[in-house]
Amino acid sequence: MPHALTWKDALQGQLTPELDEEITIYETQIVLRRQGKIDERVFAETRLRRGVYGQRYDNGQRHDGVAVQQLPFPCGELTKGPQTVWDAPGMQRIKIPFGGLSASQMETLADLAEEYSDGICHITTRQDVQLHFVHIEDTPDLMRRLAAVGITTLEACGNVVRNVTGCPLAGVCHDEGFDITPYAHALTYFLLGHKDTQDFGRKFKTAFSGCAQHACGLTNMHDLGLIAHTRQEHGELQRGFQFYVGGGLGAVPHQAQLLSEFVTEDELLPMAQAVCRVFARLGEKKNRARARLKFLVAKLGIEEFRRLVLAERAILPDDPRWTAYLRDLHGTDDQPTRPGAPLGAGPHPEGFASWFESNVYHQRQPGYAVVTICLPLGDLTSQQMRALAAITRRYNGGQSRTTVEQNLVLRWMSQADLPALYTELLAAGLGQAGAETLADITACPGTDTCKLGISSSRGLAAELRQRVLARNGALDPAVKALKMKISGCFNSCGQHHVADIGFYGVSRKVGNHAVPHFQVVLGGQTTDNAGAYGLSTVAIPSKRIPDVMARLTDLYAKERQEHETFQAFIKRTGKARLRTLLEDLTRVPAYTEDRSYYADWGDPREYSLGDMGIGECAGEVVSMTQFGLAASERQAFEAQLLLESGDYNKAAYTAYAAMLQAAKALIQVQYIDVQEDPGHIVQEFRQRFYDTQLFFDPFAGPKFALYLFLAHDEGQSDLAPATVRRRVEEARLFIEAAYACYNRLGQQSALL
Amino acid sequence: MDTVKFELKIFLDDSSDVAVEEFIPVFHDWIQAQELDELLIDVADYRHVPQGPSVVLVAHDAHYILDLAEGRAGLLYSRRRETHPSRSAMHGVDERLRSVWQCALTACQRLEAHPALHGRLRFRGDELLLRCNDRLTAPNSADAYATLSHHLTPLLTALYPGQQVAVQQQQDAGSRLTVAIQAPVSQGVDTLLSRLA
Repeated sequence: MPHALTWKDALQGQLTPELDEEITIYETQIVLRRQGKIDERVFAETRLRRGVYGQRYDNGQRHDGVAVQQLPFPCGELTKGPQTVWDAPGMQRIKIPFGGLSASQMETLADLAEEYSDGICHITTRQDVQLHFVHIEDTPDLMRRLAAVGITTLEACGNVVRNVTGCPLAGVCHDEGFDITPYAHALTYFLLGHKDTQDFGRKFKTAFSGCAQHACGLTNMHDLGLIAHTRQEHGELQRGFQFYVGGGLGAVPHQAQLLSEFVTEDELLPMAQAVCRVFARLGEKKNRARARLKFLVAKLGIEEFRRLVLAERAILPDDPRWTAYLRDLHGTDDQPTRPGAPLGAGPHPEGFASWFESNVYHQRQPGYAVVTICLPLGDLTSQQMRALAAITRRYNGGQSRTTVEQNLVLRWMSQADLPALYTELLAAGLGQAGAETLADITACPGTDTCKLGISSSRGLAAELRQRVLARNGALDPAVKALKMKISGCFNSCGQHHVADIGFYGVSRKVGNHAVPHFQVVLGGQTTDNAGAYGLSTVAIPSKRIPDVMARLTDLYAKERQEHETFQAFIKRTGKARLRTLLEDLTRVPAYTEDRSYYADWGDPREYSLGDMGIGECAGEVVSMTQFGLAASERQAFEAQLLLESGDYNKAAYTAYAAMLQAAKALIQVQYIDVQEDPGHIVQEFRQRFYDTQLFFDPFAGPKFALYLFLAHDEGQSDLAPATVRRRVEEARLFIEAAYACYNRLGQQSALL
Repeated sequence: MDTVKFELKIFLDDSSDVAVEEFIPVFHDWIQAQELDELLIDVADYRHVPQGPSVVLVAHDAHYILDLAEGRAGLLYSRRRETHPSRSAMHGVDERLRSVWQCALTACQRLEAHPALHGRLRFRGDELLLRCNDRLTAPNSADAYATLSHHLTPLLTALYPGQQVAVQQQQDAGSRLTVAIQAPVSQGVDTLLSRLA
């Protein structure tokens, strides 16, 4: 068998046709962008919707501690988005729906981290995996290799439905209403690429929780939060969801509001679709700072928003997918491979007892446990990922889940196996105790790689973790149980609002120098699905934050009342006293006195805000029509290549398909439910754009529209080469006319 | 073996007495001075990850990693692409291997000589790990190993004249072609670089 020269060849037949085609389209878009044939803004949103994200310094400059240095990437002026240099390393976000990973997926992630990244797999606060320092031209191969093991990066970033998160204890938890996994799975793939989710002004985040009281799902801080619920109806137990909308963190955090106390399981998908339609139609598109769903819900009020959603639901065209998955809710079940058995009497390995206490959760199924692999800052090496895959194959059938605390959990572990498992985890450097304790700090990438980072959230997290671990034995158990979360800026990717002790990066000017600081956020709550948000107390220089942590935890240990939570303690103590407690830490020594304050954790460069860039969290607002027109251009390009290779039948068909695609994109301006059938598209186009003369060129009149009708009537096969050549050229002209028409429509609506 | 993705790890001598965090300011210095034949971009700090790529100097064509994998510290040079003008005309495995050695040894030499580390850091010239970081074109197979050996032998002969250098394919290295290289006598980095020239 000949050796495959490309991953495309090597993986032939291993991808679904849809993903195969999708990635081929993306590859072509890369080629077109290199040739300058796709606008950089459209290309930026195109790649973002595939999880290909910008990274710090990708504007081609970096502050080296003394001055801003230009980074002369070999690509010259070529960009992959506004102010984003083509050759600059970027981040690849990989969606992991509800955090579910198989052993083969873990092995592939390990391979990709080695070959395309820096050997590190990073687990995010939304159960994704991220690889950093990835070159854009490696991304199609990377995507193919993921697709071969059933992972898509589609819609991992951009203004779309992001990763659907879910409680990692789903199906094994003592308190859940029911296992949310099949519902999270169904909603993920129903909304993925759905036409009703392509025209958002901002991203849309969804979370599932099995219960109302725990912290695993954090549904209150999501655009769409779904909590499993049951009720008796006509003597039968009925499944459904408490349906929350409009939650979110960021600079202006909102608690989600209850849209419905009980949405039955068969209504889950259509109701979510209806919410998406209302958001796409009425959500803010111009002011990016107010474009999340939370602002729309707040603006309209929950009553009006509910009315709109229910009205939208009432007119939705039926879709068999709404309920098809309900016929088999066990398709996503994990299967234990070893019999459940109690933990033996021992003796157990050294360190086992404390690890067992903090990292092991007893499943509701007797004899089984969930084990948390505590990952410092959410990072693990490729070797560790591969070792973990092998471990899961041995012990639980090769399954794991990522968590929003940036850890991994192994479910369905026989308790009798735990000592042996612990020994293997230790050998792989994965046996760290203290999961979900003060030492298990959540942190976003911050200034390490994020363009918006202000202070080093990861540097601070690493420092605080060391200090907590050093004091671990001496810590009060109530202190040990606290949650600490850190964001590099106010955007809250580190979820600082819901921590007992949260920090987010800010900066202050002292004399002529900038000093990294963190705002101290106190009183947040992860339990009750992120039930309360903390409030900023005071900004402290980054280098004094360890003192903040020590003072706050010492005070809590000393003065807390019996069973008093940290939130209650903070409330009782009062902001004024807390501020007084920390006041002296706000002082920054003069630059000449102590320069250490003027650099951030783990970074010896003198601190500067000069490295901040334009974030890509908000993506680019690119309408579905613009995407459709870009797709038609790609098809026209492919038709050209087919023509040049002498494949006339395919060239004719592809040119025709390009025109249909452009026509469909225009129709969607007026009518989103346009069908795929060519006859339907041509008929709709004729009625809406030809008969109305909207498509008519100011000088050429109906000429370009007639190209579509001609191609539709001529058929697609056995055409003379000259006819095909003419059609390919006409397709290009038709697409140009479609762009012009779209621009005219935009100008008209702007005048209204 | 049509790949540019070679990795070379040069182990630290046991006598070295340098803390991992000391490499961070050194790598930042290098970026400031654009010290190497690379477009140097950033430093990634992974000291919190046990047995990981502890500190990474990210460049456009390669990563320079203070690697602690398997509990053994060393400088891992990981070539990703060949766009730097000094590598623009590079062809064939022989040239690529020499270039990878050149870059890795140069970095080691500059680390040993850096004022902040001087006298406390030594690399071992007798023990190295070479890897093809490309599962598509260089899987960990007997055929690929034979091809690599064919290109590697003359280079090792030049670097270790008169010595019987052991080259062993690592079977437990996952699916990446990896070979351990062991020379009977340790050679200093300067010596190896001079023989490479």
